[in-house]
Amino acid sequence: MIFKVNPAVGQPLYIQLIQQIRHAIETGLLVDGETLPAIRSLAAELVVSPNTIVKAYSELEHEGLLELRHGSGVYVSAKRRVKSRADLVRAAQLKVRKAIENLRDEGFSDEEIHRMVEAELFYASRAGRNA
Amino acid sequence: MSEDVVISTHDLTKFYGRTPVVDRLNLQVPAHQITAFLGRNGAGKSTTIKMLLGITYPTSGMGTVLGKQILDAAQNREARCDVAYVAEDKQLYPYMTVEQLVRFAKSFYSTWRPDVESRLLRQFELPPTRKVRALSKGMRGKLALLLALSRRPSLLILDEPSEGLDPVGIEELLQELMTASADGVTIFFSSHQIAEVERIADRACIIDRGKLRMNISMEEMRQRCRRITIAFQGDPPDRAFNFPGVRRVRTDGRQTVLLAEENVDALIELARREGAAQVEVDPVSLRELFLETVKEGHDALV
Amino acid sequence: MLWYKAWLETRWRFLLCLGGLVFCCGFFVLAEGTGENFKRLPSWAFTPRQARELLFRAHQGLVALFPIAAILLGMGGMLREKATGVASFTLGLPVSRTRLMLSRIGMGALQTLLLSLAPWIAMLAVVYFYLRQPVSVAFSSSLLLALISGGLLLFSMAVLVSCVVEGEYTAPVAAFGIFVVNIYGTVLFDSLREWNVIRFMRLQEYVDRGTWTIKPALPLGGIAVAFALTILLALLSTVAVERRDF
Repeated sequence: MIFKVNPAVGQPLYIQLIQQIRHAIETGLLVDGETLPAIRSLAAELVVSPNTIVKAYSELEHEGLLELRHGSGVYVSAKRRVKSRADLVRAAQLKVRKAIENLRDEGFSDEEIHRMVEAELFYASRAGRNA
Repeated sequence: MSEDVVISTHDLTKFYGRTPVVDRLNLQVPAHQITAFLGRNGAGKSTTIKMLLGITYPTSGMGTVLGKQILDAAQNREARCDVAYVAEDKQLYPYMTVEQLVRFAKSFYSTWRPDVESRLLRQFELPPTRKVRALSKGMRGKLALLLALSRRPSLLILDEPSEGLDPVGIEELLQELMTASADGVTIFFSSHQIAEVERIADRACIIDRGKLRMNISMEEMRQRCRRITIAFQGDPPDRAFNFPGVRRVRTDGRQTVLLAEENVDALIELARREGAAQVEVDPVSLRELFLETVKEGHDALV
Repeated sequence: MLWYKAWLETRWRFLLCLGGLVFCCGFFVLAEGTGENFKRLPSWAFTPRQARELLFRAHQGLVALFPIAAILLGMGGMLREKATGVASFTLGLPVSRTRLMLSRIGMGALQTLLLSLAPWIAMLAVVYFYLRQPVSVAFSSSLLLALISGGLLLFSMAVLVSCVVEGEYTAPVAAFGIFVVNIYGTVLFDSLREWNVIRFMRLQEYVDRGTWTIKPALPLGGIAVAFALTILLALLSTVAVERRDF
């Protein structure tokens, strides 16, 4: 399993890692019971701060996706919650894909689409707070 | 709280003649994290580090390293027992061989790791019987790093660690640093290589002309700092963006660019109220933030 | 390992001076003692009195060469490390500056001592074993004592200079300069004669030229002052290093 984080995209590295691990689990790239790299080795491999790995693993353990067994490593845990969420994610992914395709058809570049999405997310979250 | 901070300075100041090379520095470096000390050449990074280690004496102010006062020679010496330091020059005794130097360094510390030492000797391809004066600059740099990395101190202080190393060497160094950090070693390193800092640091302290200009968590920066580009149909409003959280406002024609650390959503709302035709939001790289921060000292603040 | 480091730093300087001094003194005594054909003279042809005279003359030569060695041994130290960029490494070690100075001064003083003993041992060995003359302990040790006290004083002067004067080549020039000023300054001003280091080590006024023995009044006061000054200069050097910004 190869992970990659990009320091320049404006998203905390640990969140990027969380998303990648979650995505891998939901699409079956990582199966139940499989081990993930130890914090030490993953930090050295990716050349990112171990604190990033720790945050990501802790968050995923909190969500129930990972099991941190003291002494033996990090495992993907099998939980029913994950399976149903996987379905939701897949459906949402399709919606996003459709929307992007439509915008592309209208002639917008990927960069423009990205910026619009970012702006909307902030605007929407604020509007959501007021409602 | 004091256990969570490995380095703490209070108005630390150093004058060389009339110039304050370090100017009332108040630094707090948290434990078990990787903190980068970012600044241009001559900003005061090396001088600060030397004061922390008792190599240079402050003109005024004080500080602690691992809870021990830097102004007290005996305490500072105790702190150095648990601190590994690699100086900017990475110079070593030319008359010693690699082997002699390792034995020499080893004799001062109780937390030496012979397994790491032999692994790094092999990995860095350092011939044990060669005199230091016969080593290339890159190899000497690696040896200097080896001497620091073959220990497990509480704190690792590195002054421009990647200086003099080729890209492969830099990669090896960063990997070793990550391993050390995973073992709980706090890392405090100075650099002007922004790309490196962006990759590995948990926190960045930006120093310019002796003053601490910013102390920010990298994850927070990625999460919250944004460049907001606003295009107006008419003339941009004059003082509308004097808002908390805005680091910089620049207006060019009908466009206003904001560098914001907080309240991004509120600013977008404000922009729309002021009649913005288009609002674009982009992440801010560390390079951008750094350049903006050090320019503040020269340009007038908005 | 600090003493080991100090040894490695000054090793070649020391060995070179050692070889040079031992060879010069030993060879001189051998050549003069055998009438330059290196064959032993018959035992009645060379007397203990003549042996003492020979040793005294050799000692004069040694006094001329020895200061150079003593000053050379005092060079180096933290300021030189600062110039070569290695001071940060040394000062980053968990040792006090006092301990650093102690090991450096200690090793250097030991070397200076050896450099005064070794040539004398060589000379005495030639006199005793080859020329087969008895050696006068009182005579030899008086000259040796004068040599050691003067040598250590010059050494610690050099150490102080190296702790105060920056510049890899400026420091030796300053140290030798002070030495030269001492010699010529005290020659120019008669009242300062007592303070001439070379004159002090030569003990010319304290030897009876008839019997070639030390006249009763060995300048113990002067020797004590020399040792006291040595310690003072060493202390000043340590303070200078402790206060400096590196």
